Amino acid sequence: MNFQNRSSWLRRSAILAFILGAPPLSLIAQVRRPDPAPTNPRTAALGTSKHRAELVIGGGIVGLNKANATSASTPIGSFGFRRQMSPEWLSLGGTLDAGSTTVDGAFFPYEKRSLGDSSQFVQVDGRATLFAVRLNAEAFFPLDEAEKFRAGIGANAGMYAMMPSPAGGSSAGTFVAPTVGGAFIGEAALSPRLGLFANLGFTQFLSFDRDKLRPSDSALEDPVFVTPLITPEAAKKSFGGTRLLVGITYRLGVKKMPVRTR
Amino acid sequence: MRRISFSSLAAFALVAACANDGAVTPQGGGVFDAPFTSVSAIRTPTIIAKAFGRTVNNAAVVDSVVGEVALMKQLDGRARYQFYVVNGLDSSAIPVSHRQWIIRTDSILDANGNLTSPIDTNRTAGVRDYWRGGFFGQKLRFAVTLSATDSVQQRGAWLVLTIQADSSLTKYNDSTPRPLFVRFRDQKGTPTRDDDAVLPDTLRGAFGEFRSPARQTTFTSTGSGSLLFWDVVKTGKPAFRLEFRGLRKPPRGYYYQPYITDSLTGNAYAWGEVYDAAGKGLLNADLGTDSVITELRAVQPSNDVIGQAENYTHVQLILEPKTAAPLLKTGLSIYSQMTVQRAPIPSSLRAKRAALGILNVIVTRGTIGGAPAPNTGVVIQGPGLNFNTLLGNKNTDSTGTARFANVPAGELRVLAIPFGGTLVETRSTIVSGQTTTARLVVP
Repeated sequence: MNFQNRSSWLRRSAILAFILGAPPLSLIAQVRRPDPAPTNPRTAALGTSKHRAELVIGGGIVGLNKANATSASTPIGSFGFRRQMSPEWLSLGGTLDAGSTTVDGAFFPYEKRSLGDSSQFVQVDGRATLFAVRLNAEAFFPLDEAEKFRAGIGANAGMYAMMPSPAGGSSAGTFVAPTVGGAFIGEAALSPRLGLFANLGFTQFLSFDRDKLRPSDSALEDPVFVTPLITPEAAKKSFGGTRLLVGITYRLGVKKMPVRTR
Repeated sequence: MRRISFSSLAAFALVAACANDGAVTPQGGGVFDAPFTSVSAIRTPTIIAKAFGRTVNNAAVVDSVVGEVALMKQLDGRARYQFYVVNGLDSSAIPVSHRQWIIRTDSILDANGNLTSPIDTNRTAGVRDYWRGGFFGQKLRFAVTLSATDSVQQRGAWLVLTIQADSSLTKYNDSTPRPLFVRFRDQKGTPTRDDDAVLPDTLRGAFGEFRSPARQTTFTSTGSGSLLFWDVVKTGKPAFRLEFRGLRKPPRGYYYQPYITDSLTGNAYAWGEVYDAAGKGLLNADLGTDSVITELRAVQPSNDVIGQAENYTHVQLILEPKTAAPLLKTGLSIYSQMTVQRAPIPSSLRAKRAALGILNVIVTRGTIGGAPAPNTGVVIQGPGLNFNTLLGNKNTDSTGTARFANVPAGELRVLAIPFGGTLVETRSTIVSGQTTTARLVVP
């Protein structure tokens, strides 16, 4: 049996996670220096910078495709960074999404496993971890004078990676492909630093390779009785899925202003 | 800030690490497999011939070619076998008629219950253009008389037996199956008749494909394969499949047909239609250009007619003429003998077969309970070949009893053949693991 892909799975996962996390980390490193003091008296009173930078942390679901052997809806965690640009309504940033979905073994050849003096066909299900890193361009518009509530729209493009476990056979394993999408965003400020957000987006996954998700070992496949109990639906190379995220924003560079007493 | 970033990445890594190997769900019941092995001595059709001739003006003239053809399956419909004489220099061919004698070579019983192989030369069918073939206990003895004045036959060097799919529209072209051929004249490669030689010996022909006097292939078996039974729906009646790689292309006019057979009872069923890895049917693989079939597969879903696999002894891949294809999933009494590959039913599956039984046959004279009939030939026959499969034969002992062990469960035909008397028979049902008694009365 081919166990090589299975045993090295954790190490590859961790490496890829940190590689994908590097861009947002480097962005964070560049904004350690506080922004210049605001000139607007109101914002100065809040202690916020004019070009604010924020961390965006949330969770939600993203829609995948059942024809690709994955569950249709997958929970994800999201970690991102964005910086307000000039003009002020424009923000640019990056986001890393991560989630884990099931892989339905019925879409793949069964394994024939030895069972004493006979054998047994087994369906092997699996899991796949989704990592998606994307660059965002977002436009925000205040909904009230105090700018406690904002609405925005965004567009994004990036790459996503599917990392199956177990990965059966030499043809299976992690694949990386592009993704594009858009989003509607709503935000509410809770404090000078913290806010809430909701993000309803659409993601187009491109070049999805279902065969790479195969959990069963190809060395144990029967050449004729492959998946005789069902006829698997054809895989989708490209498909769209909605993404719903809710979470918090954390504004960077907010100075603690001393409270003046008379 | 940095702590938040690293904590988030760590959380993602944790998500990845939690993605454990997936669940494993058994599908259906047990799976049993066995390899196929090539049959070393394939019972292909044979042709032997002897040419009779004389010398006229220093030229060898063949007057007739006589010989025998065996193991040619009886063809369906209008399909017939037909002889052609082929010129060894220019490949021209003409059909020739032949005088027929049908010879039985199958074993039958004599008056003492002993097996014999009689030769019946009384069945002459006269001069015929065609032969339909016969069951495998029959041979065709033929005599082809050649015309001394005919230019082709003066040059005739090969006798080729063709398969004509429609005997009302006979043809001899590249698509005509020519499975049996024998050369009776050596023309030395020259048009000069003076140097020709009529081969004097009894000539043994070949089975394969006669393409031209310069190009013939003799069929041999190649390839390897595997057999697999899978009790998909746990009924004890498994689906099964075979898979071969590297099989030699069948001779033109033939195809590979899978069978499941039981040597204990003679039961035989053809099953499955062969196809390649792309799912394309291989019934016409003989017409392909490649000399080897890369991949050959066949599948038989769980089937009530064939039933339980343990009641069989072998799965075989047999060459069948396309013009006499067997009915699928129907008990067969006549099928081709050209087993190319054979696999035994896997032992772990065969072990499930009901225990064999014992049959005691008691033969008495005049009436049941009468005087024992010693030295009476007793034959038992299984249900295969319409109760003509020989399972055993013995003479009764001094008590008039013949005992047969290891008899498969089910109905049998029991025959008693007294010396000099007429045969009597009965049916007896063997119960698994038990002793059954059959009583026969002879005059």
